[in-house]
Amino acid sequence: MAQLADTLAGGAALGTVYALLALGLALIYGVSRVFNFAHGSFFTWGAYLAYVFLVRLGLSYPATFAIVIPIMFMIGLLVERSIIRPLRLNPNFVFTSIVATLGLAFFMDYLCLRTFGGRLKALPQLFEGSVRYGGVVMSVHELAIAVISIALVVALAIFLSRSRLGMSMRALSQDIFGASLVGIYAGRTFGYTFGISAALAGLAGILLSPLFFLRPLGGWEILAKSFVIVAFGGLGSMQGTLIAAIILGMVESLITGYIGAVWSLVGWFVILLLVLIIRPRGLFGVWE
Amino acid sequence: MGITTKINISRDLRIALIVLAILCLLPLGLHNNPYVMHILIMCFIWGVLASSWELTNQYAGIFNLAQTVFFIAGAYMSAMMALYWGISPWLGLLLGGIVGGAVGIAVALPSLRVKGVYTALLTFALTLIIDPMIRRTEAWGTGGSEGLHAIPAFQLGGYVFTPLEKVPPYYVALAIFSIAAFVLYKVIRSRVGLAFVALRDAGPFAKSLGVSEFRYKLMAFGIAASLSGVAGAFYAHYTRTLSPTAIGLDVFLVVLLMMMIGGGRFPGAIIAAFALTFANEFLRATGTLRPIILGAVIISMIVLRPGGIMGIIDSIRYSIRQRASRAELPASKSSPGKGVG
Repeated sequence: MAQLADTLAGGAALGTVYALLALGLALIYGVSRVFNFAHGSFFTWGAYLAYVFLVRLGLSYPATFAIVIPIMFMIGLLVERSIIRPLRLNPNFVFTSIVATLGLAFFMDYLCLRTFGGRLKALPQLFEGSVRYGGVVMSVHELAIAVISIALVVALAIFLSRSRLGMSMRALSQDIFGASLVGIYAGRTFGYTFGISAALAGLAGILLSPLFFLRPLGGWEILAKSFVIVAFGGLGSMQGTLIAAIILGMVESLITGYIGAVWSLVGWFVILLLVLIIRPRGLFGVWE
Repeated sequence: MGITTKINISRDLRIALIVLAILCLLPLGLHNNPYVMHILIMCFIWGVLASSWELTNQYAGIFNLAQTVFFIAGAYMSAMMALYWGISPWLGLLLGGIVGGAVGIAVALPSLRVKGVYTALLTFALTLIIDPMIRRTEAWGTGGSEGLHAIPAFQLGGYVFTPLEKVPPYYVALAIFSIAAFVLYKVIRSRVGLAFVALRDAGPFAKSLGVSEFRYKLMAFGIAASLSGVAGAFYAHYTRTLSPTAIGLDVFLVVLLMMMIGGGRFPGAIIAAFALTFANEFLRATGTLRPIILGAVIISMIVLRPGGIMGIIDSIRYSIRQRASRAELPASKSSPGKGVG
């Protein structure tokens, strides 16, 4: 029983980080209608950049965050500016942007593989040790990533509802043309959206890499998981995404702990299938 | 990316026959080069896969990202039937088509229930889990991570197609490729193809005229999936070995690129398949740099040439026509005929 509780707690912590990933994916899709297949690659790059600064250069975690997150933001900005924006005039935009981001994922992943090699690498944990609360044992690292992730989700929610940029994003997600009419710079806002999404993905890469390993081609699994969470929670609902991510994180922990890690991706797919059959718009989603 | 409704069958037929004749005679010139023959055979296989994919995604407008799954289903089914039950590979081609089509329908049923990006999501998830699925189902005879080896080759009378002799499989591949291209061409030019395009370009209007969205999209999935299944079955008996690593995510990506770079009109994906298969081989020497270059090529192609290969062909044709009409203009102003419009 205690082991079950530990497993669930660990899974919930994992889930909060997945929520960051899924929110980044949903944010880009909601605001700029791009289905970003390179989302997993942003995750991978975040992790490898952290590896460079933490392990190779021996910096501390705070310094690493301070360096890597702005870099990821700039990469996101650059990607939007150079690849996505020129496609926007294409009548078949949704589809061409999918392929462009697929090409980007290919490019980024194999660049990583070429630079760092295929050997598995690990990051040190944020904090060592473990805490006990009631009967549940949890590593401090897991607790820390859960706290950071939830804080960021809350911050993102406040940002989207209160700040000027956040409101522009929401306006664009409702109606690009109408938002442009009232003086919102669509292109610039799309760029920031990409930057924020890339930064979130990169951050998630740093938080999760001490638990898993760094793999140059590991982004696909992350992308698939983010997909499932977005579908489960429903597009366009932050609270749905967070709840879905936590549930799925716990399910994944249960499958890994009791059936075997190799079945976790199959489990994700079964859940996706069930969601789409029973409730295609997800827990809290709305059809556009 | 509208489709030309003006049909010029005689011209299409002429081009097709010329290409077919060249492809038939090609082995004569390359007889002692099994390597080039092998690449050409792979071009045919990927050509079938990419152009049938084009049918669902570009013509029927479905965000289908599971086309390689149908290919893999056809390949494994035919290979396992031949290995365990001794069923002839020729029959396996047919079987691969049936199984591919059945899997296609099975995937289509839930995928068509949902819309747009959700379809992409569901089908892509299927593509992602097929690899771990195969690795876990060794008990069912899929060979697991090790893969299947010594898959029976094609036989004709007493003659067994060995991997060293590339000419007989070349003609089998060419035949499959030609038939698939013909079927796709016929479907696209038929009322069914028209219904696909109508549903894609003006969905609500087409539906209001009584075009059943579900039926036609299911049909698109079925046709595309069975053609891919046949290609998969051929692949299995030609390479004689199957493993999740050999037909993994990189194959998915490369074939997806062929389909996209084609430009969304019928022969586009086939031309792209030939170009990319050869490019892929030439880049083999660069090792791990290859996927990086491919990725960069894709991005620049999409950004700089959104019309794809067919777009390039169109613009070349347009400029030739322009030049011809300009050359003609001073000489004969009144002559009705070529070049104008």
